[in-house]
This record gives sequence, structure tokens and C-alpha cells, in this order.
Amino acid sequence: MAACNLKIELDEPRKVRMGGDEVTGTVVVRCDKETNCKGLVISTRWTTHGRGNIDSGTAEEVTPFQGSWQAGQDYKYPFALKCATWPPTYFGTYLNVSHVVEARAKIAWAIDPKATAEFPVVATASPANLTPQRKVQQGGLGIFALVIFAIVALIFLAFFWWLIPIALIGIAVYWFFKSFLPKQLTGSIKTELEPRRVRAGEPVRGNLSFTPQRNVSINSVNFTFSGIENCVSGSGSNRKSHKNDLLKQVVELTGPQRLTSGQRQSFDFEIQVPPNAAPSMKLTDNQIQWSVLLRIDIPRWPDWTETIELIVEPGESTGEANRLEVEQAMTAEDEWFEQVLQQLQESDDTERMQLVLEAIREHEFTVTLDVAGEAFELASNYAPEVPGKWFETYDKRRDMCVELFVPSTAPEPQIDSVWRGRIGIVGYSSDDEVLSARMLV
Amino acid sequence: MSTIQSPYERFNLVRNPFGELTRAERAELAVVDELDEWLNLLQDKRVALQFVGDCGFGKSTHLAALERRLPGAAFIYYPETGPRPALPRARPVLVDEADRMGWRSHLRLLCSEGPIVIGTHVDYSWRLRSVGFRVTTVDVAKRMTPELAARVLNLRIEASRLDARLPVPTIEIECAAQLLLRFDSNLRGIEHFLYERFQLSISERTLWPLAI
Repeated sequence: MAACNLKIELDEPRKVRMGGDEVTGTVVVRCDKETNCKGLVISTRWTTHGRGNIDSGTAEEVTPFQGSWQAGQDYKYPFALKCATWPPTYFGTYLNVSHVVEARAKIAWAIDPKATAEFPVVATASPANLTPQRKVQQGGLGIFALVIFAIVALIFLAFFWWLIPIALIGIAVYWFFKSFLPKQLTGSIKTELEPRRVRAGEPVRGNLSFTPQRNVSINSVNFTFSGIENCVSGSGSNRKSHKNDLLKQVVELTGPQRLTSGQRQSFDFEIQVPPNAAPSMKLTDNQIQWSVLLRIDIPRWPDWTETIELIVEPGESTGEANRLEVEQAMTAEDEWFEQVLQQLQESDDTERMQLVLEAIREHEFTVTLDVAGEAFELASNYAPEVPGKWFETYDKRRDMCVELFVPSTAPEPQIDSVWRGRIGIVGYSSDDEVLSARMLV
Repeated sequence: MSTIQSPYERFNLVRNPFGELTRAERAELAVVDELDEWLNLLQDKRVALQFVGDCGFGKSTHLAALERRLPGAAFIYYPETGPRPALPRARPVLVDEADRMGWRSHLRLLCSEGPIVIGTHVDYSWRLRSVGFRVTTVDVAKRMTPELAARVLNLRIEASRLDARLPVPTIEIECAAQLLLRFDSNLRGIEHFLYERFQLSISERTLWPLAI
């Protein structure tokens, strides 16, 4: 079987794109045998990952090549594709959204080789209509499905008509306890909440008012502002819902008190949506939902509650802030690391060196190191508090030798491999020009 | 709260390896050493291959792995509720949740030609034999050994690798053995447990995998 390797080289892989921006790069193909390709398909896609069933979509797709690839040659296919405008990149607990460029070579009688490269995307606005984005659907299938459903419902009702009164009784009981009984005490309740579509970082203002129909004691009037990730996995009887709280704020508008009949009660309130609030998303099996639950807590009586859904849009500054967060996170850390190194290199006496080391004791740095082997002769006089091993490593980027202490509780880096992770600096030898560091886990 | 910086990069991964997969990915990552042997069996028309076991033990994954290697085969899934789909005429036919197919479809399947592959909670070998099928039964729970579980889980980690040059975490056989014991060989239960553990180590910046 011919083996083909595909590699995607993105131009500016760290750059944060705005939804709809162009992503450019090159797909490099190398085969070890002559291979007939029925089509090299390059696309920009978004996909969810996490606890819920996968939702995905394709933004743009091109097929730049069809034909034969010779063995041992590199073939390069530059591309410029638009990324999807929605949903934006998001990393949560049960829900994640990633944007990727995917290259797939269609090869007859073999598993199609493919490669992907991820890039972050931010959005500045949510779609006008946040409805579940259905997967591929044939034209007319919706109406067809509706007709089938109507027929099935009619057949069901023809045989199980006796279920109708039971269902009606159930609905009536629910309405009686949920709406009728509370309103017997509170009277008609008016709620306002504006705007229902709000940008992250902006306030939502609301009012709850009612005029009790009789004297009534209440425990509290409160609201709960919450955001959740709601994901569904499996199908049929295996269908399972997974919920993760992003935020849950309970605010009491009033505590226990006795309300007098006929005296109007009015409560104004304001909710501040956090500037970094995840935007509302309604994908097929993956959602981010924001809501306000208003409650009048009545002792020994069914509480009155009302849930109002909010659509949180990415904040005006969220997109730019996220872009900067990623782009600056790298440069700021790099700059800081360079400064620390410079300080260490310039420390001509032990006292100053100790001062610098003490100042950066709690700081973490991300490094990529080539692991040469175990270190037996150490430049550092650092005495670790826990058992472990020292390794000789090399930071290619900074052209610097690093002796790395690995605690025995951490996985040992493989010799002759590249290790990437976070370190804390514990020493520097000016004579040997060796940085001493400990692996952080 | 909203973040676009991947927390998985720290482990050289693009995602939590134990999250949901598409059916195609599940088939791609299935570890089925006997696949060629079973494909050979299915050359014969009067052959039935059944995968028996409870939910979460890998019946559907076995079927998906077979379907991937059987171009032209028909696959059908019977949901617990709702209308039952019609049994396709194409053969081989792979029937997932065969115990939900209803007696008419069941009868049609038994009376038709094979080869057939079924995933079921109920052992149908007696009925299949009685109508002339040569039956091979695979108890999916019994197949699961610590070595196999470690391979399955490590393949999931491998499929989530970010940079080919850098190492990724691994699940040792001893750890897999403990997990099998704890979850009674239920691979789906193990995946869900590891998903939560992995997220915990992301949020608390701790070592992974944590002590099982």
C-alpha cells in the first residue's frame, strides 16, 4: 500500500483570525510510492470536541490537484481559504470549538491520508438567528418529515386516544401548582429584562413587579443569573445530557418580609455580564446557554418562578482581547524570559544571582528542549527537596544548555527526543553558561 | 471564562482524548486484531457473526470497524424508541442493537441469506443455528484485557496528538487493569471517567493521569 504523508504549513500559525478572515498556507505531500490521487481536498472547518456528539461545518473547500504523485518528491499546494464566521474558537469543560485547515488525499482502495492544522478564530457578533445549525439536509425533507410525523401522530391517537385526558390532567396539575397557586397570593406578575441580546461586559436591566391579592409572607425575591455548557452525547436510549456551570450568581432583591394586600411591589435590578463571558451557542448537540431565573420564594406554598433566556454575544472588545491574549501571551512570556536570562547573565556575584533567583522563584516559563541524556556533572548547586533525576538538554531557539531537574513524580523525558513544557529557573552558571531549571507539572 | 488558548497544548494534545468521537473516527481507532479472520469468515453466505455484550462494551465499535472494511455492506441501527427502519436487502448486513429489531424484521433476517453481523445484548446463536447459519459469537466483555484496554486508550491519546515530535501522556497496562476492575470492563465508563480526570488535571494544572 502506498503511503502518503500530508503536512500543512500555515502562514502565521499563531495569528488569531476574525471570523471570515482568510487563512493561507501550503499543503506539502510526499509519497513513498507512485500514488494516484483522485483529489486532494483542502478545506477550512470548525468542529466541536468534548462530551457532546460532534457538531461540525465546512467553511470553504478546494481541490487543487488530481493525478499522480511520484515517489520521494515533495509536492507543494498553496491555499487561501476563508474561515467560518461562527462559532468562534472556544475551550471549555464539556464543550470545545476548534477551527482547522484539513487536507485529505482521496486514494482508491486505501484509507485516505489526511492532516489538520488548528488556528484560533474570534467573532465580534453572533448570528442574527441563534438556531441549531442542522447537519446536511436534503431539500423538502423537512416537510416530508413533518408529514410522516403527522401521520404517525394520527395513527397513534387513533389507537391511544384514551391517553389524551390523562395528558390534559397532567398539564392542568402542572399549571395549577406552577402558575395558578402562586398567583393566588402574588397577583399578576410583570417581568421586564432588556436587552435580551447583550454583549459580554455590558449590563442587562430588569424589573419584577406585582401587587399581592392578599397579605402574604415571603422568604425572598431573588434571581439567578447562570451560564451553562449543555452537551448531548449518544442517541436513542443512550442519549445523555452533560451540563457544566460556567457561572451561577444568586442575587437577593429582598429578604423575608410580609407584603400587604393591594400594595404594589417593584424590584429593579441590574446584571453585569462578565467581559469574558462565553458567547451563547446553539449547535445541534452542543450549547452554551445563559439565563435569568426569577423567583418569589413563598413559605409553605409553591414558589413562583420564571426563566428568561439571554443571548450573550461576544463583547466588542472580546475579539480583540482574545486576539491579543494569544498573540501577546507568547511574546510577553518570551520577552520576560529573555529579560530574566539577561539579569542572570549579568549577575556577577552570588548575592545578586540569589536576588534574581528569589525574585523569579514562583515564575513559570514554557520551553522546548532537546533531551540529550541524563546529567551526572552538574553546574548548579541547587539541592532539590524531592527525589528525581537531572537531564542535559538544549534550548535550540535560545542556543543555550539547560540542565533540567525532573522530580520522580513526573514522567521522565525521553532521551534524544524533544520535550516541551513548563519550567522554573533554579540557577545559572556564568562559567559554563548553563541554565538550571526544574520541570513543573 | 471564554478562552481561545488551547489548554490541551500543555500535554501536546489537541483535545481531551476521551471525548465523544464521530462514528468514522471510532471505526478508525478500533483495536480489532481478529478483523481479517472475521472478514474471511464473512466470505461464506450462511455465516452469522454476533457481538454480544452490555452497553458500553464496544459492540458498535466492532461493527463500525467491520463496516469500514466491507465496502458495499449495509449497516442498520435499531433505536429503542421510534419507528424501526426496514431491513436492507444488501449483504453482508450489519445490524446494531439487533434485539430491538422486532419479530418481523427478525424473521426476515433469519430467513434471508447472509452473511450477517449483529451487535446484540441477547445471544441469538441457537436461533441462527436452527435456520442453518454457522455462528461465531464474540463476547465483547471477555475480549477486554488490560493490554487491549491500554492499547485502545493509548490509540485515543495518539489520535489527539498535537506535535509528532513531542511525547504525549500514556496509560500503562497496570493502570488499565485497575480501570477494568473498577468499571467491570465497561470501556465507555472508563472513557467518561478519564474525560473528567483529564479536565480536572487541566483546570488544576496537575499531573495526568491522576491516581486511579
